[in-house]
Amino acid sequence: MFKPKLEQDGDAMHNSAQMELATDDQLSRDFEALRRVTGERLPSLLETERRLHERLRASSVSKRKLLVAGCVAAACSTALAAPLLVELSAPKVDAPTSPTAAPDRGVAAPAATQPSDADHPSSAKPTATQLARAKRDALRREIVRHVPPVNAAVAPTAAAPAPARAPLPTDLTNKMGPGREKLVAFLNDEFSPLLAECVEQAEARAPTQAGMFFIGIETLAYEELGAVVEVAAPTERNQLADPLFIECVRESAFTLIIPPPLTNGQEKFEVNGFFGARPTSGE
Amino acid sequence: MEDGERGRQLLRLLEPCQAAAIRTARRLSRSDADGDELFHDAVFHAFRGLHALREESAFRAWFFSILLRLSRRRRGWWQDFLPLRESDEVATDSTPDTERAAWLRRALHKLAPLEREALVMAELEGFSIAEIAESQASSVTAVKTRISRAKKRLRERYASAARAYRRPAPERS
Repeated sequence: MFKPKLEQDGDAMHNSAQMELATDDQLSRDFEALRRVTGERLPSLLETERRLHERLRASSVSKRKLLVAGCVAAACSTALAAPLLVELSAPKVDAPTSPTAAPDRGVAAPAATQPSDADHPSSAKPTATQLARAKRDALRREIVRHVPPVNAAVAPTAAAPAPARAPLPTDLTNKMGPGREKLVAFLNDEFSPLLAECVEQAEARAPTQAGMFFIGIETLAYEELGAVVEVAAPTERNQLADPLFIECVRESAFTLIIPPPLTNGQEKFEVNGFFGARPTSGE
Repeated sequence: MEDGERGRQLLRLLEPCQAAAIRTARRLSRSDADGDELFHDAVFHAFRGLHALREESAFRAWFFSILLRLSRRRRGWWQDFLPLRESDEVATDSTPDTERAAWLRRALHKLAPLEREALVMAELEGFSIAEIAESQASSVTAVKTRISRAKKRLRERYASAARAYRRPAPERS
């Protein structure tokens, strides 16, 4: 009775060892295959140079598009045109736009590490970020005339930055609906890259920190004019407490203008993601 | 430094490690095309941050750390927030090599990002543990643990696939 059990155990061990050998063999053959497949037809340095030039050209085009988009939004309302003209004709050297704001898409380096125009008092030319913020503030004033925000008393503007707010509630789940899809698509396309820049800057400042960030976003929209971000603040679950990161997110969000047509009113979103090394199981 | 001069400096530094960087990007991605995109993305980021590179001798590790960070981000929240593309799978032309590579790529993508990076760089590109540790900003011990854990998980995946289908794993696809 005992012997067969031993034989069975022996068979099992033998099969297991065979299986392991077969697996290792399979694995090394697959590694070899992947090595061959991915080593074929590598782009040349010339191709890399061409792609880099394309990206740089696209960046400068997208930077220009940001300014044009603001003008188009302004042109959709004659009432909006007047305050915009005032803002543009009298640029402020000490504009409240933070130097930590994420750079406009395609600007060569993060704003926090490169001097901006505002750092040179001799240059009164406003930066693209300052212009975008000024346009956003002008648009917000127009939207508020039609759709007063619930928390109008604390709504931030360039002239009066928002006071420190308590963290937003954590129930800002992504409830999709016909009125929200366009906003979500816009935030994905336009805000996410800016957010990524802010995360990168935060990672560069503290390379060892890691975790998840949670940012609550509230938008304020008027159907004919478009929408602006009314609130961009960390929620209670946020783990990236770097004040420069929070400021970068806020300032970046406050340069956005979401084009019409939209549904009137306020909407809430939560954007989250990892910073630093993504946590792995068991580490 | 002007853009043109910065571009020339970057390409000069990139030349010796370009092939390894492209291959690594491809092996960390779901397809060669995605890998090439990842590499060009890393080149663009490197161009923008070249002023932060203190010593040219550190370029290789610095560039790979950018590549790895972008790879993690592509797989991370960025893709969680956006719908995944159906075409993310490898476009196979049905040769045994591409089928095997496709199977392994899928298995690699089930690993944790840091484990996948360490395994790919060590097994497929021949990086030393110290080089991987530098690129991942980790200790040598952590990298060794990642590689061994990644191999164990891959073996388990292969073994379970082989048991489930009672034939060599790559036949599954």
